[in-house]
Amino acid sequence: MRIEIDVDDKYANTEVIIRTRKITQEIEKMIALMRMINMQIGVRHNDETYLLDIEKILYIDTVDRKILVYTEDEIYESDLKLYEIEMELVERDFLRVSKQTIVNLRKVKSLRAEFDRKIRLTLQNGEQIIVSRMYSDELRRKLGLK
Amino acid sequence: MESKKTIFNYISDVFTMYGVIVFVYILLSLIVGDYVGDFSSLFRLGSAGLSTATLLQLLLLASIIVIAQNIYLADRWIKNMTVVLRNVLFFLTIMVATAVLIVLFDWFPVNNLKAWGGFILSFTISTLISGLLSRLKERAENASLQAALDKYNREKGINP
Repeated sequence: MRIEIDVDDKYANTEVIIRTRKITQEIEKMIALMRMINMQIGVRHNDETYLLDIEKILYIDTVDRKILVYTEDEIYESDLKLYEIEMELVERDFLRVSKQTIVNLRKVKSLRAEFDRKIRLTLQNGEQIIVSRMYSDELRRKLGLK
Repeated sequence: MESKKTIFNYISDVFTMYGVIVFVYILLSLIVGDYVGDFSSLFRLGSAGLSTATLLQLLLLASIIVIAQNIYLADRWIKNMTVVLRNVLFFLTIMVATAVLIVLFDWFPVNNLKAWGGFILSFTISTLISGLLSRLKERAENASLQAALDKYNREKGINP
């Protein structure tokens, strides 16, 4: 794959053009990562692909090796790996809370200390998620408690 | 990140607990050893110290406490249980185990109702104090977590 970067004052907007003979999985992944920079994530639901605004996401979970993206109304599937999503969203108030879950901190309504240094999150839709002991220190740091 | 506990961590926990118990019993033997030496096998040597048999029995007690701690006060085996219930079960287990050790090793005469009453009373008081302290700690932590989240939301301009 050849990468060409053309920097010139004549360009009013930044655009990324992909020229390819066919869309491979690698290219799909690249597009998905670029969309996340644009505050959107490419997801699938009932065999249709959608561009989902990141701010609508409540949390992202791994179930049977599938990456499921939860919003208030729907559950979507993503082709990205959880760590790839985490890398892109960590600067946007998303936080890894367990080996299989990333939560949008902007959607957290309340927090409660659980046994063994774990934390129970209640999301705006009432769903509850446990922050494992391994990640609870990071949450405390993020909230300025450490 | 947190590393998994190995057998050496458990052994270390047992000996830490053992150290505390032995220290307490040495202090007790120095203070009351000469008075209760005839009454309790634990203080057979009076204020001279603790016998080998007593030291081994206390090691058994420390091991039981650490096992109970890892069952009730960690989430390895029991996943969903309230802190209060965990504490109650933990203290009940220790109480029953200690009662068995009392009978087995003749720590005090088993037909002495006054001694049993004192044992149960001291255990109940320590359970209540421990339960109260853990409840207060839990409340304080919940309040500080919620305050930190509210502050975070305010700074980010989020209206929950």
